[in-house]
Amino acid sequence: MSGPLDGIKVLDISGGAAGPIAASLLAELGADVIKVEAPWGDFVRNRAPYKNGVDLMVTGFSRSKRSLVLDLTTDRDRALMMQLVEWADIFLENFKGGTVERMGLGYETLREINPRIIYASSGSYGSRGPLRSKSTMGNTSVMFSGWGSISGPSGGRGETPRNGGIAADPVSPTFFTTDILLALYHRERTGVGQKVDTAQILTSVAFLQTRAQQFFATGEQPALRGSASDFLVPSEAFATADDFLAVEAPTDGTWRRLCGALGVPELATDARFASNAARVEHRDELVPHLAAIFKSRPTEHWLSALREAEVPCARVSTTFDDLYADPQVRANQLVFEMDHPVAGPLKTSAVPWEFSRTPAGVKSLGPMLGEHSAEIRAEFGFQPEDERELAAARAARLVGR
Amino acid sequence: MPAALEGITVVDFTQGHGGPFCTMHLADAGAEVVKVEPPGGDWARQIGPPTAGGESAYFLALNRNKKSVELDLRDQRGLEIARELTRTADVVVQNYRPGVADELGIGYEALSAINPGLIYCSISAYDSEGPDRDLPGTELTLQARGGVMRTLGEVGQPPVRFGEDGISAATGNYATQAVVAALFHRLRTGEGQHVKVSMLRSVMHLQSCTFTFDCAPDRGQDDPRTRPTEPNAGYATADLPIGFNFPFMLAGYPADERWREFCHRIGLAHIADDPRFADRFGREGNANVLREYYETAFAKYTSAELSEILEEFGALNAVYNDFPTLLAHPQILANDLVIEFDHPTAGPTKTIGFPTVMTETPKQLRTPPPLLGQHTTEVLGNVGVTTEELTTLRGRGVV
Repeated sequence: MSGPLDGIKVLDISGGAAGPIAASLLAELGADVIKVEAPWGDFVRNRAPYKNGVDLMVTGFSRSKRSLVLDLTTDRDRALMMQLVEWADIFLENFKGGTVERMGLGYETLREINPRIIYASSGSYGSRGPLRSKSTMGNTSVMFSGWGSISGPSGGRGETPRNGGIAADPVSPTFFTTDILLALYHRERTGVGQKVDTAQILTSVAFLQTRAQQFFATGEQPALRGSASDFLVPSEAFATADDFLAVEAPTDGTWRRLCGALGVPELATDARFASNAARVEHRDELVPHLAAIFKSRPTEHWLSALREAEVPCARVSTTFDDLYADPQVRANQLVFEMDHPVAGPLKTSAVPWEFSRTPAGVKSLGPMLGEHSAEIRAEFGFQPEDERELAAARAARLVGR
Repeated sequence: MPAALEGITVVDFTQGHGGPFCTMHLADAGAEVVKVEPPGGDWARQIGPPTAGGESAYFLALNRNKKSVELDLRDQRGLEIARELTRTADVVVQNYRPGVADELGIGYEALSAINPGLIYCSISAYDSEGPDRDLPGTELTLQARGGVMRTLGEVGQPPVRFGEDGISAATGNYATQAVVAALFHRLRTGEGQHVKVSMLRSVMHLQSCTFTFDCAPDRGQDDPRTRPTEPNAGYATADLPIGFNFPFMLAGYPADERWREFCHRIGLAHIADDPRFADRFGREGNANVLREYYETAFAKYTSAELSEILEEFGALNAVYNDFPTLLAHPQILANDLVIEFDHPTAGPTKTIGFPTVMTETPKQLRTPPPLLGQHTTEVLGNVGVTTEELTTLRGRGVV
């Protein structure tokens, strides 16, 4: 059995994180993805961390792909690039505005060679507007896109998640890959390709759909409340006798069960707290009351009492090891080790979906630079001597610099 | 212009955030989505304030382009009608707790038996296996357990949540990917299938690369809040905070020299040769010290002026926009990211539109989020429920 995109071919010339992750999702849905790199490689290869000399960024961002090095200053490699354009169902790039045109790889050029191609661009600020030429990366995207204004302790000025949390680079492909799939579906029905053009600033704003709607309703910046919600009560991490416990009651039924589990059934019938709207209005009366109760016993006690009452609750994980040890993460193999030929065993996550008929999955860790060059060149009819010749030419160029 | 999912019908049993976000994406792409709500409606209708025209803003954010049917599935006839709706549907999406859909009689096995080509999407909190798979899970509990809260706030201080329901949103997006990929497979083979996503799986996938980075020998401190990084609250200026990075990716770029020039340019000549800041590692490791110097210097500039200076020095930078600035920003408006629907009770209402331009199948706003049960008569009429029966069902509180 194979994935839903079995047989689909993707030419991925993107670098960094957001573009490569989008292509990696396609690879793990079953597509054959060739990551084309310049002789010096995807720029994030120059960035720590490393293990046994292997850069872990491409290893993580470009899972399940093959790497082909092309030197587009040579006629021979330009010819191979054009063969790849004819071969591909999907072309994916994330260069700065105008760059692909200068490389001779703009949409109009490629669709002349391959009229059915889906041309997927992942840009920065969008193709129109005063900042359309400005560049961004993950952390500047979240700064611009309002993320720093909705999280933080009350009274502070707001903050963005540190590296490792929810970040623009993995969020952007949750939108972009969907749109590429829609284009692929449309093409399968009609034979018509198209351009799919997204921008990281725009996906980062679209990610804040509900908070933005609340802003449109009130005209006011949402308040910062630490772990608490602005619009749902109770919903926060309460201090217990020994740690914290995150508790959320999204419905009135959950609220009533929570009151029972906390031994305060009278709160469930108190009109001030009867609905979420009432609890939001009277949060200053209610929350200190609940906080005092949670503070009286350790987290473990409340976890078992609230689970018994079917109230959503959880400990706050603070380390990688907490995540690796989580029984749900382990039982579903959501984080697991794969062997890398040089770096040895490395951790990575499962794919984000399960398919009953067309299993999707991680095929490999991200490739080393040019790891599959010879294999791919052979598939496209290049002879081994060509390969040696090219390697020599490349070495000469690198020495010459 | 055609819509990508023109002619596709979706029966949507989801409530809250992740499921409705998924079915909204399907609706935006042209599918006909029938939202089957329990008596009293999707619980998201009770979230808030804020509200607009009596409707929860949270609900308004996630339900445009859909039709609403209010139907009690615990009633035998209500269930029959729901099953009839799914008999001819292309897609069913549900986010009940595991097992509940089967108990109700609308699980994958039951529905695929009457509709073999069906694509059935299940969205859960804690995934398919394991001791806690049946636990109720929500955005906050997943943020806590899934590691998101450890990347905000300070060590020794109370936890901080990510201000959007981000795991829910990502889960809705991954669910949409699974559904569209399954539709693609069905187009090629005629086969339907069961696809699943979960909030825990999603938050692990969002953090995927950090697990790989964590395998580096210089793994360092395990709690991200103890790692020295650039300040994640930005640098204060005369107005909005600003964040920036010097480019790190250009091999051979004299970044240290440019940094010294930058110090002279903004009035920090006295720290240009400070050995603590001699290279990138020193500047990152001493970010907290450096931050105070920067903020003293930056107080003389507005964020816009400072942004220009940073551009001169090739530093990627961005103003920390708040919502009033962001959602009126000419850049956001120029890309049509803010659109407007006319809601029956809330009136003309702005909302976030579509971040991607698709040249052949543009997404479209067709209808505002529905009132509860707004389309009950129309949708049930299509599956043979007569006016008389509808009256009876209304009397019994089934619809």
